Amino acid sequence: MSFADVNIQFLDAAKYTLGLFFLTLVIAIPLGVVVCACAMSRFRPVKWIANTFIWIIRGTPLMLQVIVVMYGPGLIFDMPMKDRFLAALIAFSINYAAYFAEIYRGGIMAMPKGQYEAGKVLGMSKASVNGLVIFPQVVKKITPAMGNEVITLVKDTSIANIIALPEIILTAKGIVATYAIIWPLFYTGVFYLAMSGLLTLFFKWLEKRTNYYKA
Amino acid sequence: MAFYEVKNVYKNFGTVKVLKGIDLTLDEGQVLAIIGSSGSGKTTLLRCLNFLEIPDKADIYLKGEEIFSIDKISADNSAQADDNDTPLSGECESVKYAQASQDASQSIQAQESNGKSKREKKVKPEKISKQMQKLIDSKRGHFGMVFQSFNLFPHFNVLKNVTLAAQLKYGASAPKGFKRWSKEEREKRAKAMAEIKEKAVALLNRVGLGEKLKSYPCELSGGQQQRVAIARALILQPDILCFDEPTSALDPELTREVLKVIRDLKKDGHTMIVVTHEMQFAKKVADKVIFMADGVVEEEGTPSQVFDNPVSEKTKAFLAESEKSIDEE
Repeated sequence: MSFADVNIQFLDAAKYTLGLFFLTLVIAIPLGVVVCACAMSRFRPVKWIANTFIWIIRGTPLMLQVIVVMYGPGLIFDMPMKDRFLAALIAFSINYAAYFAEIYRGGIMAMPKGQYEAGKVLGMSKASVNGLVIFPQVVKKITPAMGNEVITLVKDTSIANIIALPEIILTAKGIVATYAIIWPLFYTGVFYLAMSGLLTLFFKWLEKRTNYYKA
Repeated sequence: MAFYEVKNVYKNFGTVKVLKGIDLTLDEGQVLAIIGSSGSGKTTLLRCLNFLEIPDKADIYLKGEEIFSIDKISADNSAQADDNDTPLSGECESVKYAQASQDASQSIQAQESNGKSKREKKVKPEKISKQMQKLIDSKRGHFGMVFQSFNLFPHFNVLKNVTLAAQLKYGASAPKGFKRWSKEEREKRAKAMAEIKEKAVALLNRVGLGEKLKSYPCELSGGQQQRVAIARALILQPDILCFDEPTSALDPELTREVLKVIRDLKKDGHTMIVVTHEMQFAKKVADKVIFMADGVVEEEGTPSQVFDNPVSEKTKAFLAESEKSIDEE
């Protein structure tokens, strides 16, 4: 198997990796807001449920969660999961929503009380304070932590190989097994480095863009 | 009746009684200075007057009209009298108050404050009923507030910091919903926004920051930030402007520039309440001085009465202490 052939196969596999990556972000970023809102709710049962959810999701391996979503429905409800990609996407979205929720919560808790009070004495509505004063500042505060998490997500997509989703690592393992060559497995690192490198640049740019003020 | 009159302000944080019946009156255009040692309740009083804290009991009149009245204490006491047969003794009264209000509203604050909580500072904000929220929102416009820590919005430039609240206020009175703006409405709106901007620029010139419109708060000195905060409060044209230790975070030079602005505002006829540790300022600028200690007004009067002929021992001790220099220790 030539170098070019390996690249072609990896590029083909990258559509699963990238698809999983982007769709997880699209779902988990807003879902995290919901989880965060529940975790910060004043209504205790909701808060309790959200915190238990976060505890379970953060407290178990992502790999196990992927396996549960893939095989759980078939074993428990006799409704086998038909789509591997969908199973991975569900597990990843839930997992990352929990992490994002905690990042959001940290960002919101780090806001000084004085910002809310200033809005209050200026007669601003709660929605105005949250939307115009708190939200933009929280976005800036959480950008570094989000960058960290998003880069981790690129690499975590490889976990989906446990349910035979043909992403880059599984493809490489296939080549290793079929052609008895080991280097393609190492070579996957280049693909992940490229992707995380681009993300690093993106987040650097984002941080710079919001750097026009200091809190 | 005086321009502004406050009667019987009581405030407890859990079992700690912070304000124990404060009365004050203020005429239009007067400056009231509130002095006193840390922990005497000065800031809490000011926060109650701005509805950042809801007092447990208070009657507030402005221009002869009652704008706010609350009496949670006697309401709770009567609730207590109904289902409580143990005799009242002074010591446990406040604990009972906490229990009574817990029974009544299951407020988070009461739960936290029950017993001898060592985390008094962490007492959660009490739930405010919708009715109360509506009431205080409608009365808030009478008062402006300048904080010790400025609390400017760091992500907006100076001009936006000043215009934001006024623009939102205008927006709140504009037609709602997804209705398309008619041409006249759009023009009216643009005109109003331009007027607000003009007014903000004028105010910023007034406090000496006409050149810093596009700067961000982090690019300004503390004194400049505080002056922006003053302009921000003034644009809403409050009847009474409150200052909570406006210069405590500033060095002497910056303190002077902020106090100068406050003095100039007095000349313009603004009614102000200033919580301060600047005795010289209180002496020279205030029309009236209140000395607070342990949640009560210990002494009040004109600056010369309070500073030169104090009656109360506590006042004397406080003033002597504040004039002492370090080597006299």
